Amino acid sequence: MSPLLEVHDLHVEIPVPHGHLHAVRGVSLTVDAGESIGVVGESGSGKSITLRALLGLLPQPAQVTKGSIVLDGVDVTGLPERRRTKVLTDAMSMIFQDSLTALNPVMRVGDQIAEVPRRRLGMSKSAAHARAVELMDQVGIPEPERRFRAYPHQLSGGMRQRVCIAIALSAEPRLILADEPTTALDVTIQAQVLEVIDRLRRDRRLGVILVSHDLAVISQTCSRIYVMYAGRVIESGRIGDLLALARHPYTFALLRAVPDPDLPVHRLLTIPGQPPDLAAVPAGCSFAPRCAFAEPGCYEVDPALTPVPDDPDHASACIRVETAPQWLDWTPADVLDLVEKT
Amino acid sequence: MTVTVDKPPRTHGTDEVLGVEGLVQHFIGRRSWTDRLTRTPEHVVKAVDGVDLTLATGETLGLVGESGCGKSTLSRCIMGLYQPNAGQVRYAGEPVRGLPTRAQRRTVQMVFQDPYSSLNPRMTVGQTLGELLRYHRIVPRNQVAARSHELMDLVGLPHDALRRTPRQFSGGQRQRIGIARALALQPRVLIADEPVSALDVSVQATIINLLTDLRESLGLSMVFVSHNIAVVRQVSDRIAVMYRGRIVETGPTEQIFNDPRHPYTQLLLASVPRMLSSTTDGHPIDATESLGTADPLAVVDGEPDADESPYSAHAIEGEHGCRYRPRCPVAMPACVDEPGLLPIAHDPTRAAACWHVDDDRKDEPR
Amino acid sequence: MTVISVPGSATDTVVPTTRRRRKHNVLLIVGLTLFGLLVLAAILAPVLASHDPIQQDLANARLAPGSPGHLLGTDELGRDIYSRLLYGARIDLRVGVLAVVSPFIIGTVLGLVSGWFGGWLDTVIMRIVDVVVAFPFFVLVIALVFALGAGTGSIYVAITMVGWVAYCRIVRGEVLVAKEQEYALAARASGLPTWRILFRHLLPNVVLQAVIYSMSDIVLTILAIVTLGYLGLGVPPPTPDWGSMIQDGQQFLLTQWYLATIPGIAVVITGLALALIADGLVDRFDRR
Ligand SMILES: Nc1ncnc2c1ncn2[C@@H]1O[C@H](COP(=O)(O)OP(=O)(O)OP(=O)(O)O)[C@@H](O)[C@H]1O
Ligand SMILES: Nc1ncnc2c1ncn2[C@@H]1O[C@H](COP(=O)(O)OP(=O)(O)OP(=O)(O)O)[C@@H](O)[C@H]1O
Ligand code: SF4
Ligand SMILES: [Mg+2]
Ligand SMILES: [Mg+2]
Repeated sequence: MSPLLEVHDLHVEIPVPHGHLHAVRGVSLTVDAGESIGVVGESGSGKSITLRALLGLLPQPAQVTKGSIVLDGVDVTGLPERRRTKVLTDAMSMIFQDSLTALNPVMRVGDQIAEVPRRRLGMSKSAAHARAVELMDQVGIPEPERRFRAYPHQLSGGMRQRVCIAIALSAEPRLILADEPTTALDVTIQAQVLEVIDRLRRDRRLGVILVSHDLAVISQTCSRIYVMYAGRVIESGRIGDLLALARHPYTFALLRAVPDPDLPVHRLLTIPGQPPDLAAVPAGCSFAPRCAFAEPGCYEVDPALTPVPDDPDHASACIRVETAPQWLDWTPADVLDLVEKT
Repeated sequence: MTVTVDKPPRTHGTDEVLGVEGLVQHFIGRRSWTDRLTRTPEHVVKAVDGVDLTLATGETLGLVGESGCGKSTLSRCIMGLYQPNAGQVRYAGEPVRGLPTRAQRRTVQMVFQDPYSSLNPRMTVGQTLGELLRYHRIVPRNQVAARSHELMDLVGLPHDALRRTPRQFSGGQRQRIGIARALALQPRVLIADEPVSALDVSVQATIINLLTDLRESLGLSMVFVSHNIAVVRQVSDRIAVMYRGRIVETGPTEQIFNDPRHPYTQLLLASVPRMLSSTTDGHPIDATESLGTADPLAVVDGEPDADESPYSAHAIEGEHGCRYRPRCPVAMPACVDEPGLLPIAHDPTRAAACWHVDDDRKDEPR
Repeated sequence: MTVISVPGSATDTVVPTTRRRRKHNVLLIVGLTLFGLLVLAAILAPVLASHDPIQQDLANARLAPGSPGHLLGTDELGRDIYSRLLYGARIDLRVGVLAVVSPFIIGTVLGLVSGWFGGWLDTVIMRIVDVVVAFPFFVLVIALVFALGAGTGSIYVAITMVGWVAYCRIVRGEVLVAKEQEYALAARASGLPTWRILFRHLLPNVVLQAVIYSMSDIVLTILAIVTLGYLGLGVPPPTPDWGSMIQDGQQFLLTQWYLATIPGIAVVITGLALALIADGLVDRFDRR
């Protein structure tokens, strides 16, 4: 059986006053039905642009310049624009970070949920209403009948995000794209919203692409993970492998830059410098100038995403992909050294 | 593999550098004349509703709580940016009456949350620092430039940063400038209101490390406000958990993490997303299997509507009883009386505002 | 306090400033050049003019542009239009600019104070603003000029008394936004005196909108003078000004269209120059 969604070598360019901003530079990913994959990376690494390219909803001047999107084994890339957008939006829905701006402030939330069943699926008014209430119930909104008539500003952030999820579900998608769905929420509420998304994935065998900058959130909700840096996937694999055996220095550093809530004071690893300007990406590995392990070769070739020797599911785009395992033997003192060096 | 730096516990003096007593800050919503005609009562937001705090020399207090619980309001009251309705703020044991005096301003300084809006876009970094150094007469006029250079060194920025305007810096660099501005007055206390929340994870780490280093090298006391409990644990000696305008639990960081006493603190700690431990690696994940967040407690349903007063993140006029009661899984009839901060029997350094404070202690000999 | 340089502090590279405002600001340059030329023409009027602007010559009345000796023709009294245009610029630009300066200053300061302090001060100032705004601009100006007596002096006073409200409202609105920005809080937190926060920190950040408005206000003022001229309350004849030239020319619109059109074009060019400057200023200084 072919995966639900396959993306091959996606490139997105955005024309800017002096040249082209290469926002996405060859991203490939796959999602199966009932699978949840995570995309992490720092701000500006192209996570949102990738998602929007999948839906055909890129911001104005941006354009997909290369790559293919295969949905259920059917390559939709060649379809005429209107038809492609329809096929893609029928199969996928998106949840955004800011639920307050994602909702129409002057429309009752229930009507916003009922809109798609009514307009696109052609349900009667009462059937659409019943459907909306059912969806609200499914995403865990208590007293859905009463809240049907609420306006967005009358609901708390967590409730609003659930409304957004209900709207996303109303089109009966098979894949949900969630762009930082919980970043604006408090931790206690975040846990609930993630739980809702995860339950839907299990119950409806939905595919989920969850974008976040929080590795812990991803590790709790996804089975596979893609780490993006400067418009590329630089490491991907099953979540456990990746967390335990990170092969790419960026992932390695990222994992140690976040404080662990369960550990007392520990020195955090920092990543010096800044990501490259995507309008003029230098030759070689784009992480090289910031990399603690860079060697002269890193400035010459940009390493491709290569499977790790004994794990075909785990790939890393680092020149040291072969030798990297030895990091595992590093003692805390070695890492401390690294901390002092950076 | 994680690195734990073994440091001897830092010793602090017991003398108080900052004290807050019974602080109350209410915001009264605007009433239109139609509201007045129809006698609609005023909408009072009790952003800070009776807070007591003390900060000892060299100590870092972490202030955590959900969005809207009044953390920023409290910090601003401490800075004298609001005139509280009641209560007192003391700088180095000396009460602040009305606005802090020029000398008092130098005791307590603040680092703001948003590195993008907290610097004046039309002044260069050098002008910003120079103005403060001159107005507060920190150094003689002819040494202002030298002192500015020192400040740049202190926060790890190049000297030529002084000639640039804030827009030419990244978020992390701006936050360094914000820290330099606060340090220009040589304060004894630094109030940091979510100093890293607006920053990328990797940049966050550099700022946390910088604050930790400065605290050590300059002997600063700090109030570190954040909603990120992992970050707070990282920097604080003591923690105060705030819920709807009031402190509901306080105590030394480690004790609170090991044995939270207030149900809200328990929920907060249980909800923090945790990195999957490496023990599950290689374990095949079934599409129907739940990967959901750890604790069922985290999914307690009691989440508020924004318009329903008893459930909002801040307290508003006319409610009574424990403020956590509407969400509390262990509420009982006694909870219609609001508990104050009750001491925890076995540990005098801790207190929690819950009638269950001494129930089923983890460390109790059974 | 000793300085310890912090190990492990990342000295990130400074972000290069590649912003569109770094480009040559064409709008601003063109606008300023155009306006500069107008001002130059006004200053050099005695040198540039070919005739005495008030010298009548009824024998050569209403000559078409391009007539020998009269570059842009003559008006109904045989006065040289080109020369009158130049001398008109002296009056109009001076009155236009000067009549905007004092409302600008008064309105900005009151708006700053009103927005910052709020409370009863704000209430009082805003009530006065409401009262002034309640009357149509021209009605109030005309009434005031009428009460004060015709002449440029009264025009200044009347326009100042009415015009400051616009600046006051603009600046107050900007201050209400800016004072909640963290940089304003930071300035307060570091204990700087209020006047310094207001004029050093807030003013440069809020004044841009007022400056932009003043550009169109100059044109409006010139038009106000035209209107006042209509009622005989403007610049007393025979002093040339563009307003009275347009008004005088209007009666001949069907036969000698250029009599009203040429000074009209002068007003339009002035307006254009100021609009370009305003746009250029936005590009150059708007930090949002
Ligand atoms: N409308 C746009 N016009 C020009 N450049 C854009 C636009 N939208 C995004 N970009 C650029 O494309 C790159 C990728 O942006 P994207 O929004 O995908 O990042 P992201 O990974 O989602 O970051 P974040 O975590 O901040 O949301 C960035 O360099 C960004 O500056
Ligand atoms: N100037 C104000 N006028 C009216 N209400 C205010 C004002 N400032 C804050 N509030 C209200 O007071 C409550 C506490 O706000 P505060 O900003 O202190 O919360 P916070 O804990 O800092 O939240 P966050 O984590 O979102 O920053 C909120 O309900 C807020 O809406
Ligand atoms: S006092 Fe009662 S309601 Fe409040 S937290 Fe404790 S048990 Fe819950
Ligand atoms: Mg994004
Ligand atoms: Mg806050």
